[in-house]
Amino acid sequence: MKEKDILSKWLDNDLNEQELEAFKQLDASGSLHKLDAAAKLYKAPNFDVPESYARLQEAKKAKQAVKRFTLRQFVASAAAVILIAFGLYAAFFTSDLTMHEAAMGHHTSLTLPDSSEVILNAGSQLSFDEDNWQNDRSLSLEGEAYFKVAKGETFTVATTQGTVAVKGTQFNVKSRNDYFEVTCFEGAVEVVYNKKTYQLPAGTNFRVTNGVLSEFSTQAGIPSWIENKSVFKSVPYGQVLEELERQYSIQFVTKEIDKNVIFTGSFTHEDLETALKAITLPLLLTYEIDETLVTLKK
Amino acid sequence: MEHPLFKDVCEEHVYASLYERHAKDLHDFIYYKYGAHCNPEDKVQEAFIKLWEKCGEIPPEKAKSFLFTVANNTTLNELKHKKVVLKHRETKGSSHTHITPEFLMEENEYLKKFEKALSKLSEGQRVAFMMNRAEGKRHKEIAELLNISRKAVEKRIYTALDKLRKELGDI
Repeated sequence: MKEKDILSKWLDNDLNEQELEAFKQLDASGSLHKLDAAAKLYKAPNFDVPESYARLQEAKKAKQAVKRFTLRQFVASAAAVILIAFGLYAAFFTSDLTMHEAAMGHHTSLTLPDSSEVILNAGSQLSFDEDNWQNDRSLSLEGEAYFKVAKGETFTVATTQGTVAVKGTQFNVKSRNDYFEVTCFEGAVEVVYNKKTYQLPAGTNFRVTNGVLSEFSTQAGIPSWIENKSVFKSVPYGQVLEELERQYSIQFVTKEIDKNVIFTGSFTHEDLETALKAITLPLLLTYEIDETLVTLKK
Repeated sequence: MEHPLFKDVCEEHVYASLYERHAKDLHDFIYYKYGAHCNPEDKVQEAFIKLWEKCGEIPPEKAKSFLFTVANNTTLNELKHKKVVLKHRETKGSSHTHITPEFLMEENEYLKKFEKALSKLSEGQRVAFMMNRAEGKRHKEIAELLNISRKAVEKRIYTALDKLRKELGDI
């Protein structure tokens, strides 16, 4: 067999044993083998089909509502019926929970029926029962919010991690993945965490990081994020990065970064570059901005 | 509701089997063509979400080329205003048993040269070559995947091999 044919069969992964022997006799086989080995080192990273399919299903679900809505154009008449049914259903069966949301990169302020003020930090949701507010001054919160409560009956904020109860006061609640923080600025609040009750006088900061409780004192009058700045005192670096992601609506790529390093410092909400410098320089990291993707490197 | 002829892609099991069949190839295609930095995994997801959104309009036999086109276009849109920097990293350390000792010694230098040479190939050559050498695909499979003739695949692989050997000083 000609050298050329052996080569082309080798390239098509199609050599039989005999031909393989012939290939090994070729002068070029050593260097080809080496090249081949190198190519295999540059193989694409493993792609986990079932795992990524599960993630895809999640993403699809998020779009499901939108999808149903666009289908309506194709079935105008049926949709009319569905819409009416939907309207009736909404009127009779759903509760009157009012939901407020602050999108990534935005703060939202709102006034509750009793004229208490709430400011929602980026990427947070707050819901409450507007009609029943007189009897039940309770809210549920996902994310972070600052409360300036009007005087009156007890006022409670429920989060997935703990409940905060108050009387006429100013406080901030932050409930994020593995991170729960309550800061009381005025008056006093009561935090129920893990079935235990903790009293926080004004000027205290109560914190649970990965299940570990700690208390700090604070001189601040209002949360720093209201003034477009995020301040951290001995906080795991991962939390700092997540907060920056929410404020600027970006995503970090942090393969080599230790997220458990304790960080004390702050960043502004007004300029991404300045903010990134503020959080990377102390840890001797560098960053690369790629539209909404920021890669951190050592 | 949907076009009755084409409604199968909307069916979960058809959709799932399309994923099973094409997701990895699609991922590898984007990876080898544009490099790791453009998140091939996300492109796969985006393409499949688009497919699902348009499941009523696309017959299953057209799904593959739809997916490849969408993934390619989204990546291109993203790269439009940036210089394309190729970095096929993922050097998996020296724990690999199929590497000979002397290869290990020269590994770093050789790999550096290889990486550079690889990034100098045209996109088409690189995809065909890596699908062949790294993924172990036959020429025919690659031809089907890329919707080109087998001859064209072979041409790309040969040219790629020639260029690489020249760059690496083997010829």
